Amino acid sequence: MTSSLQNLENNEAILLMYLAGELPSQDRAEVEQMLASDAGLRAELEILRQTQQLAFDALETLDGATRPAVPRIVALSQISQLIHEWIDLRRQPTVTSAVVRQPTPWRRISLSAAAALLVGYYVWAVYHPPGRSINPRDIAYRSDELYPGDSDEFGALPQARELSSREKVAILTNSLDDSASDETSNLHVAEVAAVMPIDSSDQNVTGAP
Amino acid sequence: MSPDNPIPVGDEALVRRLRDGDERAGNELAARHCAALMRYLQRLVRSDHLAEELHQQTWTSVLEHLDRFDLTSGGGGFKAWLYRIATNKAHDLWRARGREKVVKQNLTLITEEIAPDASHNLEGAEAEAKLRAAIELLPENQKQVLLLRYYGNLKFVEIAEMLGCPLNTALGRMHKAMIRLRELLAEPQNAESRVS
Repeated sequence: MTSSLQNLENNEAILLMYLAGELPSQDRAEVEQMLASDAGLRAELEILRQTQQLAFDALETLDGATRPAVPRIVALSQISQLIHEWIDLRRQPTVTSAVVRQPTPWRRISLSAAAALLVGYYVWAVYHPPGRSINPRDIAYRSDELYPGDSDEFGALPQARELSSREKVAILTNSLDDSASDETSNLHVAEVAAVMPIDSSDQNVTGAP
Repeated sequence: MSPDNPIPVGDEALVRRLRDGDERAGNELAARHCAALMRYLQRLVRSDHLAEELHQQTWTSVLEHLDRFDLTSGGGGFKAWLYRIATNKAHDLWRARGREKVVKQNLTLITEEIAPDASHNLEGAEAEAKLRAAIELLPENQKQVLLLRYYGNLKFVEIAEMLGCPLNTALGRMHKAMIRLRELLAEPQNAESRVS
């Protein structure tokens, strides 16, 4: 006996494999020799064949009598739709360059912010030299110097003309406060108001919190 | 080669074409296996609704994993792979829902399935009920081998591999299923009453 048949543990197994046509040709020939010489084995094979046929017939009869779970055409349509969608999905261009998540460039952001601050400070420092503040008397003096005969101390300055009186007060007040150490320029709002007439409509704005 | 009698294309060739985007090849594959697979699932889970659901899940899974299917492997080819997926889906369902619940649910469906076939005479309906009952009464592992053999026309070696059991075990289950079915059909009244 060959190893293939030896691996089958009983006659039923051998005969089932024989009936199914799954034995290699050499083993098949060997089984046929056994069948030729053994009437009992032939009877056993015949019973097995009939039993198998009975089982298959039962299933066939049942299938013929029972409707399929879904009509074949419906089932095919469902699968066809799945296939269509699957192929469509495959045809779509794939994202080859996957979005590679870059680490947040904190270092670069910090350096940029520091540089921007430095530049900003430099620009501010150019226009605001240390120790210099606007003194209304200086302005008035220069105004007189530049525009002699003008009765309004601020009115003669082209830039000042465009400012409202409340803005002028605000500028002067701030500049005076900034230079509080300078006694000559340590004026109060009242003094400013005395220097520069304030519109009555503006008065409440200067004192607004 | 005559155009009227083209050489039948194997499943594996159709799989190859489907992978390349040939929709007709996919439809041809489905047409080949759809009906038998549906019947297999119908007998296995004993519910039309579940069989339909599992059938769709099976094909969805086939498509999802088609690129991984080894065309050169000797594991029984596409059909064995298809039935393996379907069987696994059924097992997943049993695990998820609890087998007892499914059995209980589907035993009630037996009468519902017979009812629409009123065109058959009473004798025919009784015979169907007996057949159905006999198959229902087979132990699950025996019935599975019988159904895979009948509907899938799979080799015993493939069935054994699919179910993860030795060849002798698969053959033994098949043999027992056939003997048991013969006994049950010989006593149809008993089988029917045991199911109901």
